[in-house]
Amino acid sequence: MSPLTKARKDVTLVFSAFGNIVERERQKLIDLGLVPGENIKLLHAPCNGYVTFLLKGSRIALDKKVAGEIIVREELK
Amino acid sequence: MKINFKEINICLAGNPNCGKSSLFNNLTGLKQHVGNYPGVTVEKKEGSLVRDGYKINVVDLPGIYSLSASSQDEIVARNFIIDEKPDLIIDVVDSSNFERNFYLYTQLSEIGIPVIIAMNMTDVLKDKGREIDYNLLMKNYGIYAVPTVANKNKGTEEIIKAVIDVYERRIKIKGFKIEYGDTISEELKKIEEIIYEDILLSRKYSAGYIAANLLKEDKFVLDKISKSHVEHKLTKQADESKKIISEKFSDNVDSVLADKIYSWIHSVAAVAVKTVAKSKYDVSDAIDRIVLNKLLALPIFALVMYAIFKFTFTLSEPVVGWFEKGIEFLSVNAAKVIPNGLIQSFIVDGIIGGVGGVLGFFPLILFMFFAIAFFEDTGYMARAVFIMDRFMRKFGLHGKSFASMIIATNGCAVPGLMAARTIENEKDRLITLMVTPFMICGAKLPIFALFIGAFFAAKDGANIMFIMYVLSVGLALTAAWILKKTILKGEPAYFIMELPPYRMPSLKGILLKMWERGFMYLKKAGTVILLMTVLIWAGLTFPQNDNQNADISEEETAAVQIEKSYIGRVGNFIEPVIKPIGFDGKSGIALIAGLAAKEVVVSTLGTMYALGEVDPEDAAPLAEKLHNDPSWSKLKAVTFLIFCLIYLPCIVAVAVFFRESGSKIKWLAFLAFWTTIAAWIVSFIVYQGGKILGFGG
Repeated sequence: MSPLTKARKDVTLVFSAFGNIVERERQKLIDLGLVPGENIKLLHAPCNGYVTFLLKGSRIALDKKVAGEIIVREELK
Repeated sequence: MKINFKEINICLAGNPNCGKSSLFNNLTGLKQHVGNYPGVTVEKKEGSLVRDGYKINVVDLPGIYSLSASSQDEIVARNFIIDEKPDLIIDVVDSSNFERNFYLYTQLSEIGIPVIIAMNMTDVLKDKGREIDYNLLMKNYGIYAVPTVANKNKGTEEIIKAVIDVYERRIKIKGFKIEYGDTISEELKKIEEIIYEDILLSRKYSAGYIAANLLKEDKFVLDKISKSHVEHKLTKQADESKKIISEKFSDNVDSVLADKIYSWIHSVAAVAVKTVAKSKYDVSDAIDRIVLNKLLALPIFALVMYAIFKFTFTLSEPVVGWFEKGIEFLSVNAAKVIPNGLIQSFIVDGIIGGVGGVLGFFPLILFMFFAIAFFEDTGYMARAVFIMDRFMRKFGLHGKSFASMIIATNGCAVPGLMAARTIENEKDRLITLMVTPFMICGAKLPIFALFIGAFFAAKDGANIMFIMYVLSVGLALTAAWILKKTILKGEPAYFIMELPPYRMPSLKGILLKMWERGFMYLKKAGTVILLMTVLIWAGLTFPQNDNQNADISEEETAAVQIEKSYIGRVGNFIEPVIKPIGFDGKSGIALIAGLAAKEVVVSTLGTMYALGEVDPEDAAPLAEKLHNDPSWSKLKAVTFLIFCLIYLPCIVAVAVFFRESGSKIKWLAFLAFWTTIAAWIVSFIVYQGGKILGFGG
């Protein structure tokens, strides 16, 4: 398991847990559909402190600080 | 004869950028602003329609992802739904993003008000090769959904019919029960039983909604139960239930609940959303790979902004010329028809010289609005916010602050100030409110176009305007940095934003937007600007100078009249303060008058120069008059524009600032003080520095 900022780009990722994240940020991400077990796909690898990823068909943009608190694992094939 | 209509109160709720405002416009015939980026609607909008003996009152709410609101716009939506209790809720769902949009639906269904789904953007869903089985949704889950394509006005009549049918109970929405599993269901039931002990509370709010949100420790719900006699019992039970659920699932309760809801939604989608064809290729990712590229993103953004100004100035130039000729023609012929005297002066110098000066820039405004509307509808503007976030953070601001600035540039500072409601962090919001007025709004555009046209070559117009735009952003960022380092210290809030898919804008949609915003400009010209022009003309014409001196020329007589007039005296009074920054009394008067509306700076100059003219039949465009006036120079013109960038915004923007900053006098006083002082200091540096460097005087 690793934070989203260190995940590989061309693989399907599974969201596992939130790290040390502020309640409001966590709630926002949950509202967007980020719940444990959810598949996500990194669209833009972390660059200049930002990450974009595909979640439930939506493109979500995050700053690196928030992305660093999203713990993911690669989907087992 | 008075007709008694049955009134039905409905509201439109839904995720940001799902087409609520488009549906609202279709239902009510109104023209609310719509755009392909989140946060276009930041306050509730009301309208109504009459159909088959019913008056349907419609409220369009800002977009929300859930009822757990955090920003000002989300709070407006949540509070309306919970406290105002409409008869019906239309949940506008982006059908191409069914699962995420359905999360809000599950929460809305909990509050005890019938919910009809407007399954919007079904054309996009079709492009993805999918379709929804509406009968199955109703039969298996009691979900009543009506397909719509709001931006093409499809499905509106069906929505109206559905509203009346559900209101009259011809269609019954059975509702559904989410399978939370035994543990959670039991805990929710325990809390609900306590809620029923307070009859008033349970009548006012749905027990299911209160119970679920107590588990999530929602502050809004905690506040709602704070006056209940069962408050203590409820919070104690909620704490126990949270503990049981957290231990059982080894996770936070809100994560567990969301997981259960999404699992249920997934199971609904699995049977109700069917794949019927191959999905069309989505170009959004391919475009994003280029426009969000770490090296290309900022240059592309700069290029887009430059293209907007180049398009505006280059293409509008001949049309502005025709308008100026037309106004000139009107001025000359009015002077021929109306006998010499006060009435001629009022019509020719006052109305045509003042309002005409502003109307001359109408084509330029339309071209600008057209270009911005194009980029807005493609979905690029949301990317611009994202791209600028990292840049804004260096100055202590948030990417969403840039959205406010774009919106201000896109017409008026007022919606720009209101867009700051989407910023969750209070200090970030306040800083955004303080710096958004620095942007070149549609009202400031004529001032810039006038002076650039007067003192720079036509081929350089777009380049100078682009530099001015960059300067306005630079000034706003510097101001934000100063505020963040001094009185509004703190870390900028997190950045989480949904990027909408790219869409090909329709010409009709862009032209409509252009006209709506352009019409506001015309409306202002016929009201505030006209009124101010009349006042300025009167102030410059009276008292009449009776001491005619035969030894002085007609030009000098006109100049003496202006100097001895009421406004001339005010100009003389303030001149010592503005002289160090290169301005004379005339410029000072134009700047003061501009506090009513920024276009009035142009109309005031127009009236002053028209009054100073000896022969009204020689009416030249205002830009030409400024160019030929020896009291102006290129350096003074640039200084004047910089002062206009920074000084106090117009009165309407100030009033909105006051409201949006929490109606606190201290912030209003600070805005007035800070913008005026900053404008003077920066102008002083530019003017005196320019003189020292040999750029003229």
